[in-house]
Amino acid sequence: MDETPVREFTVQVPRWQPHIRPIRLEDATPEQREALEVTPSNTKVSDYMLVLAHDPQSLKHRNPLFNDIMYGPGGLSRADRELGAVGASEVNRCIYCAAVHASRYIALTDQAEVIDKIFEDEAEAVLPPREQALFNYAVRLAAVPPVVDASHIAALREVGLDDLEIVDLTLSAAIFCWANRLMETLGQPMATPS
Amino acid sequence: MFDGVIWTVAGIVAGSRLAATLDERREILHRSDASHEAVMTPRDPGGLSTALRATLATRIAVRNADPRLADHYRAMLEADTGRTPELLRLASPEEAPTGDAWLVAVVRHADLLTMAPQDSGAPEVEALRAAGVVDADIVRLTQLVGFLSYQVRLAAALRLLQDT
Repeated sequence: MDETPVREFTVQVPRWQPHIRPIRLEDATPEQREALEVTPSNTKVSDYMLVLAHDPQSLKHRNPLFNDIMYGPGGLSRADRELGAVGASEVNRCIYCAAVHASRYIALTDQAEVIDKIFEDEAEAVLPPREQALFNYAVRLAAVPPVVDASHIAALREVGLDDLEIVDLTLSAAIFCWANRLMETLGQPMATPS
Repeated sequence: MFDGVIWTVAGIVAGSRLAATLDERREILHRSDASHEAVMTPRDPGGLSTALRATLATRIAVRNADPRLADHYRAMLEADTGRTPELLRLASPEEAPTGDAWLVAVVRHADLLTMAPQDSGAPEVEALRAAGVVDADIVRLTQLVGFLSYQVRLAAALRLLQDT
């Protein structure tokens, strides 16, 4: 059966199909190769990266920024950063990002029920207190315009987050407000119906 | 100490507790500023002039209810020799573009992607192409809106943390 666009939240990671023609790696300029971090031992480059390579200067800085925000040492746990990513992706209805980062959250925490609730009830999901405070903050921050206020910061402090952890949660939700917009304009999630 | 754009627009006070916390994330703040440069004043702007970029950034900041960030981008627009009366007018989101199909499509995409990214898929890309926007410029435009969507939220949260 043919692939069709995926329109509902899922933890089955779809294939991202570009709307914009990816650049051909063999035609890449030195600046594009540098932004793509192509090396003799790293020649596997995703279509997503090859689409972003149309604007190499943006790509060059965005990739390390993304990695530092999601995987950098110290501060908020990796799992909690993934929850921030899922919260933003839910608001922006980015099926692809939600699938990737919900899967990572489950792999890190074994809390599939948290993701089930979010995918079912979206912004109204009722979660355990700590996850609730983090998710609510990410959802409010991702709104347009963002609607976080002192009460949301207080709720995060109440469940034990310090300022560095709040900064990290902010960064993970905010970088997905960027990533979701790239994914949703430049391509779409596809899967074979089961 | 880091003291770049995000620092200024968020109003971080040197020597404050938050400034000390952010020192642990200075690499991220530096990279955020490098991204600001990449989308606002790139070496190769393609079809999107720096004046147009400053116009769209002002518009997006206003739509996100961030007057301080809007002032930052409006100042960039006013200092840009490529500014035109039409671009200065379009810096206000209540103003709609008229005439030139290319400019209408670019502003429309920036607005839609800012407000409702879930509605910005294949038909939108086709509309941009039909108006003569080339693929590389679609990527540049999408990166610009994406970055602004990130920056406005980081600034909002840092201001809250500074004040609480």
